[in-house]
Amino acid sequence: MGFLSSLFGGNKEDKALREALALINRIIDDEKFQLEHLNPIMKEMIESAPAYDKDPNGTGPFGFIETNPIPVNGPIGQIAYLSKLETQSGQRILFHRLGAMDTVDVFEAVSFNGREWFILFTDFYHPRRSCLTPDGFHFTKEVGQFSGFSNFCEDFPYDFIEKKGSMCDSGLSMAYIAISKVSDQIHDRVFTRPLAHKAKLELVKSRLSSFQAQ
Amino acid sequence: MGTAICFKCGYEKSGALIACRGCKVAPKTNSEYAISLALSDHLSTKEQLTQYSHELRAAKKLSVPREALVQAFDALKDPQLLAMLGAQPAAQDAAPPLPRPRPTPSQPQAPAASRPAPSPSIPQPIPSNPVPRFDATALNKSPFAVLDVTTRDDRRRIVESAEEKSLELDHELCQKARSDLTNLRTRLSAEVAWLPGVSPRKATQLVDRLLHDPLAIRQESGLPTLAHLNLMASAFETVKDSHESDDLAEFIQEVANLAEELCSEEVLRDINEDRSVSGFPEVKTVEQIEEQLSERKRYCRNAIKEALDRLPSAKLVQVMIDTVEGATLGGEDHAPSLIDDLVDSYEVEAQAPLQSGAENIHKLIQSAEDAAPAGEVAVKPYVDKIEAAVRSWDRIAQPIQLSAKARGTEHGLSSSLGWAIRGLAFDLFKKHDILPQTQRLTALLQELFSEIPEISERVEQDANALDDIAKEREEAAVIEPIKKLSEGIIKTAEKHSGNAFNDGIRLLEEGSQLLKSLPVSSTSNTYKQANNILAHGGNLCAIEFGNATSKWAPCIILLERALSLASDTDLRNRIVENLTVVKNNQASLGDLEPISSAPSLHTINGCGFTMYGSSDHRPDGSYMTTYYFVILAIPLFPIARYRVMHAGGNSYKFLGKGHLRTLDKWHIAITLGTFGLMFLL
Repeated sequence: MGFLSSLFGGNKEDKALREALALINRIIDDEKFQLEHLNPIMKEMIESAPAYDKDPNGTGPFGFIETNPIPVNGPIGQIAYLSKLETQSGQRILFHRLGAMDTVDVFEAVSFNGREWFILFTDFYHPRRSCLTPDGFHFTKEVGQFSGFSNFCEDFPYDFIEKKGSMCDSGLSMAYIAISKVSDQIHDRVFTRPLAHKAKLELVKSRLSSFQAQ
Repeated sequence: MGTAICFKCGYEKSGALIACRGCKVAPKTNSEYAISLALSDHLSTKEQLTQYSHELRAAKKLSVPREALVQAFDALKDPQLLAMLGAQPAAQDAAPPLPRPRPTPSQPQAPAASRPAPSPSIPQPIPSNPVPRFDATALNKSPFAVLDVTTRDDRRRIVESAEEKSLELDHELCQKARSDLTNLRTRLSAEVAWLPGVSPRKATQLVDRLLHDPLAIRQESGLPTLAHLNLMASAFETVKDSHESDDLAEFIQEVANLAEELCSEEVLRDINEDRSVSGFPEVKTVEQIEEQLSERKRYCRNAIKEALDRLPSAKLVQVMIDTVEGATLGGEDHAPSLIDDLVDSYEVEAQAPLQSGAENIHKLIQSAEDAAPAGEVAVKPYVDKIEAAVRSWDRIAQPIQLSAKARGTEHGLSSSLGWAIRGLAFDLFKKHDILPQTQRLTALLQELFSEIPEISERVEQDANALDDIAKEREEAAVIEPIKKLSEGIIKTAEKHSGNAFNDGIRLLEEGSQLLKSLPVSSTSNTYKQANNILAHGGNLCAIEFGNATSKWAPCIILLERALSLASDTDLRNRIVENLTVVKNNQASLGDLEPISSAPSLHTINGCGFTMYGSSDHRPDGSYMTTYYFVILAIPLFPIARYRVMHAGGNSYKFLGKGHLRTLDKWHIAITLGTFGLMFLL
């Protein structure tokens, strides 16, 4: 029966599922599709910007300092890029946006197991996302379902579940990771910022030119 | 944002590491960062912060617990935090920036190259000249460097400096450094590991240079040997895997030569000179120094070894080869003991791969021997594999082989492998006559095992012998036309024995002409072999002709010419033997015709055939007699003459048939005339 149904195009539920998966994949991976959701003026501005993996004039450690941000394609591309990052220990990251320093967005990130914390800097005014990763990261081989937000989370990352729920309106919630991937850690409250990270947060926050409600 | 107390004015501010809104001062040095973090709600309670605020405003000593400072210093090791601090904007109207803290072993600095340039949107202090900084070396971690004291500072200055540095650095580290320098048992070790004989100011410059351009230490001259060695060994800690292998090999040799030149008396003198100023008791015996110098050599060896361990394997091997080759002049001279030690360590670590590699090669050798009966085609693939495996294997073993040669010893594993390959080469030739693969293996041994004298000598002899054999075979192929000519003529002579003399002469003449036209040296064995072939053919032709015609004179000519060409002893003996027989035949039989059977000597009543007379006696007892037709025992007609030998009784041995004499012919004529007259009458 399965064979026959595959042969004749499957039933309607299968088709709907396939379409949904295709859409998720487009949201996650298709850079042009990600730009289509933008305001036309911003889209035009982004498309006219240079496309590169790394700012040729950037200085400092790539992605870890505002003077050398990661080039990404718009706000959705920004989430897609960060969601694809995986630490050397094989942990993907949860993240949220702290604010911006001029055109550079600042994100706070933590590994799924809560052991590693990061501050990452991105610049989304580029037509495509960088193919490079900051030191200590590589791109995950899993499907890079979204694992963070382009706005500030007051109780990051413990409010991940609520925040994901609030994404229903944006139509992006289906592109997010399953809650089960982080629910245990949230429940066990494993996410504690180390001292160095707290110091970095203070420095960054003192230098944000724009920030979200905190 | 958290709550914090300004380390300068004691008033509250919104973040530990940011500028105070009151006094406008921001922390700038590592110790200020650490104290600022300790003065924040990250590490202190609200009550503690209040107390610290009072203490600062009352200019009292801060009561920050050491644990908080340790945690703060630990947090300051975070590279991103350091990078951010480097990019932090200065507070407006802030005091001029303090000099950067001197890097210390416990607080590694982020490389200046990785610090970001000022953002156009954020006001930045004028950056100081960016100078690349390297990780602290052992010298930078010396108690002298940690406490910033000299070998001439007394005990009180050391204690004071330790107290001062404890505010900035890890307390435990400072106390240990103090203890190391004030305790006589440990001080000597610190002194020997420092820069004995170098002035304090110069020592500081040199150690600072280690942080900026460590490899420039190699260019230093005029330094005391131990100080130079310590600097070089510390510089070795900074060697990267991208370093050129040949330069690294030279660097190792420089360090090894310095270690070899160490003089304990000189070091004792330098240390005691400084101690006379610092007030520490002088070192009494040179044995104490020697013990410490041994330790220094161990440290140098380890520093080099650790640098080598950071290299990719192939590069490590190349560096070792270059080092040992350079230090031993290709195995001809003794290397410094440090390099010998290094090779010994290398040998221990290479033992396992060499052992397993050798086992694999032994298996291939066995497979080649098993395949050898099937010929060269079957053996060649195994020899290909053996060559590839041995080349890889030898590369790893090369430093050990060179060192062993220089030390007059032998690397056992290389030796046994070399002999095994030589054994295969020997069997391939001796048992299976597979010369090309034998030569290939021999050449491989000559190339790769030249460091093992015994193998090298034997293989050289093998190679020479094989070359000779190969040359002979090559020339043997050249004289193939001679062989064919000889074989053809011998066959013809066997078929037409009566013409064998002419054939033999043709063989010797044409063969000699042909041989002269071939590219074969007249002194070579092949030339001699070709002449032997011709002589052998001539000999056979002579035998055929002699047996067929009993004409011995031509045989003598042929055999003598064959003898003049023959050089092979056996062949010459055979020809000489034949020549003797033929000459005897010639002497005894002359031109007698051969007879197939003895003539009838049968008479009935005196009628029949019989022999009369004897003449021309020879020493062998033979004589010529006449064969007659008789009637009533009267010899009427002489029929022939025979050479006979009396064989006892009435028996004779007939040797050959001769021609009738004139007298015999008259006898026939008279008999016939008598019969004619009788018929007419």
